[in-house]
Amino acid sequence: MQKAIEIKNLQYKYSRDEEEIIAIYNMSLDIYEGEFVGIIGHNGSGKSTLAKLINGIIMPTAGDIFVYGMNTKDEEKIWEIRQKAGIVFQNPDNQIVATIVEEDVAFGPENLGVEPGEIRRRVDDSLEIVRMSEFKDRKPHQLSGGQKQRIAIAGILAMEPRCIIFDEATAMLDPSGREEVLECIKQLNKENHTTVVYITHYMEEIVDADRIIVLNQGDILMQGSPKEIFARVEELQEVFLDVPNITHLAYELKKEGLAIPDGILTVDELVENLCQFN
Amino acid sequence: MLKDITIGQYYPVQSKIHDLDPRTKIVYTFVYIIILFFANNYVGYALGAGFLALLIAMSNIPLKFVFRSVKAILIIILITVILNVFVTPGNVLFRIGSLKVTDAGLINAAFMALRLTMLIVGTSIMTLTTSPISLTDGMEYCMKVIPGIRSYAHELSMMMTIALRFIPTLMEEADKIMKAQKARGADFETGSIFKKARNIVPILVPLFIGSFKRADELAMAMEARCYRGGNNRTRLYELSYSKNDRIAYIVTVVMVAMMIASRFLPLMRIPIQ
Amino acid sequence: MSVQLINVSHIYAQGTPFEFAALKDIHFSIDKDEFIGIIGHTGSGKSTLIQHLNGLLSPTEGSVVVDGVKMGDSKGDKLALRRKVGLVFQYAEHQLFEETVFKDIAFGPKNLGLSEEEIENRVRDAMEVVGLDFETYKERSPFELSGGQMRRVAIAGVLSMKPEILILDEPTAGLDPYGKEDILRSVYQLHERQKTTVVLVSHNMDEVARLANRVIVMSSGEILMDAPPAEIFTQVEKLNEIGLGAPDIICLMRALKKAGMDVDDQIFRAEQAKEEILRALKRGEGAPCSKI
Repeated sequence: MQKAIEIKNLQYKYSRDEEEIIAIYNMSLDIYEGEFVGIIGHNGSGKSTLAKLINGIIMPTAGDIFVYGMNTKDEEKIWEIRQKAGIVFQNPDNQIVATIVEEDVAFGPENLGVEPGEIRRRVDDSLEIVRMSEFKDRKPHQLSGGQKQRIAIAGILAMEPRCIIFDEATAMLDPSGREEVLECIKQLNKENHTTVVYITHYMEEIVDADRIIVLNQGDILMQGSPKEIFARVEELQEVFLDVPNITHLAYELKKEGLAIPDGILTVDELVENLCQFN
Repeated sequence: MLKDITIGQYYPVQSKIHDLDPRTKIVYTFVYIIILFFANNYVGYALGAGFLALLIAMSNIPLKFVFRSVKAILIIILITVILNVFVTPGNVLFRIGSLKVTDAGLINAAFMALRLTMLIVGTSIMTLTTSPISLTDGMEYCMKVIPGIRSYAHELSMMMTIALRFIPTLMEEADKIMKAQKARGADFETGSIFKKARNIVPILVPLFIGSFKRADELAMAMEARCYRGGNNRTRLYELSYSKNDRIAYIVTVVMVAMMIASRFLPLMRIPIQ
Repeated sequence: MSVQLINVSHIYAQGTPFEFAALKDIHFSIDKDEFIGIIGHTGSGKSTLIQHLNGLLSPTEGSVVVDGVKMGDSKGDKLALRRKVGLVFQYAEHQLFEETVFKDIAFGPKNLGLSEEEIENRVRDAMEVVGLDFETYKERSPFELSGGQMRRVAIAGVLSMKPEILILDEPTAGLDPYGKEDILRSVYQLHERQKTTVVLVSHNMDEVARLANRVIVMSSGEILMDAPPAEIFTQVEKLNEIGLGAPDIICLMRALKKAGMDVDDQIFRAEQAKEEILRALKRGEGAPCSKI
């Protein structure tokens, strides 16, 4: 499989009040084309810093990041990197630039100097994918949080990236908004084969991910399939992370002596396992 | 709700004037303002008023809205009128105390008021029939033709677009912060002006801090979407002229010609006084 | 104290094309010692409702009755109500403005015209409730703190008014699980120890299921349900219908019962669910599940 993102001995530190803070501590990580990778960690674990580093918004203090083989330190490649690996941020209000939905979606391709006819096609296609076509003439402030965030996704899609990084893109949404955005992202990964790097602190959002990476204090604490990760309830709680309710209940029941496998993720799985004893 | 307040005074109805390219309207308005100062006789004023009336009629905007803008500058018009009435020399009609009112003064004042009104109404028609967004677009294109400010055209219009985009968001935020401080017992209504001004600090500080944070995040998001200024940038909608725009430009030229004629051709000169 | 809303309607931008009825004929009261959870979608009228409870909004129709006395429109009445009913807005840290944590939390008590000594006591108490050490944080700038800490300063800024009723609008929105727990714990302790009446507005079913002793479900400007949590969360179909979804635990218990296990399917708290499952397994030893 082709590597979409290759992170080699990455370190990032900055100083605040003359104090040196290490946000990323010697991290190495590969993300493959077409993968859905969930990155999870509490606030200050370095996950947002990582997103900005991949997009070349900030530069590593040591080590390298390659996006589709291009080093983010290479100034000539920076625009191509940002086009190939787009990023959707947390606050929907602060990433919509234009006063009309379709003009905002057009913003990226306009910056890339795409021909007007082609921009038109991309805008229409992108809005279709996020199911916001009927809102193309609306003003952003008339939309709900979930809708605004889908517009932000369309804005990235219109640049035709191969990978999208979601930096806590659902953190400010209500449950229904979160669900509609998450569904949209999963569909992008499955149908358009877009590589997804999904940064969050909601465990239940990434139970379907191909791989989960848990960050703690700027380092990778563990990585593996959702099942492998959610089996390690105690370790997760140690770094202030919470497992989904059902996983937690299964873990508690197991502690009481029931022979339940690790890493139960859904209601159905737990029912199935409990019924064996009955 | 607060966030639904329209910015500017755009009046969204269907009309031939609404459909014109914003550049056409900007150029026309600009020319109109200049030729108003050419008018120095009855015919000239009649021309100015006539073209304006035609425009208003074609714009489908209720007169009430058209003349609302005049209200805002009523004071300025009044001051101009009073100054003109009292300082213009001529045949004294009557006196108020030591002030003389002359016939030329009255005529001058009336025409000055008319000119100012036409000026304001003329520009209002442009803002009433053009949405702030296309106005911004039009201005960017127009500025690009003018040497000196050409290189700032894109930046200025981007600034305007972002301002338009964030005004509703910031108004909502200001409202929310005000309520939050009220919930903490803040009082914004009573007290002297000085006290009121000081009381607004708990609103302004969070609003500024919030705006800086927004600006910072927006800049990052724009950069992530490959924004690098106006060079090599394309547009979803390239402005393009239609047949009606060509007609409008011809009308503009005709208007200028007629105005010049009214000033210089003896036939058309019906001088004031 | 008690606050009652009697036939309250609220219409925004009345008489304009933007007219919008946010509340429709609401009848509802808060009594002493309650812990009320309000759930509903964005735009269901939750925010408008809570702003009526402390006089920030006045009803377009109907009336607000505080301790048996009908609220007038006078400013004095409203100010008096705001002193007794504290309201913490969503993303409350956006209201911070002072140079130090102390000064910001003291803003409310100062507006009440309290003595310096009383102000300091109240700031100290409020900081203790939200778990911020007074000596460590009082001189810090609120803008240098982490998101979770800023949120706690903002909540302390309302607590320092010593409200009899505390309303919190999505107090945990945007925080990580750890930050969430911190805040919920503080709120619960406040309710338990100081007998403060709490109204918690939340999207999070589980939060409400864990804490509230009365739950109000709102949908398009109306109160759809108003009952103890056990009665609300067991109405899974109704909750699904308005798109709120029921807590995971109750879904599990129902699925287990459907699969033939002898469990109480009204349980919605994890701790109880665990006990119940263990009990059922002991009781029904050997009996197979009818179907999966």
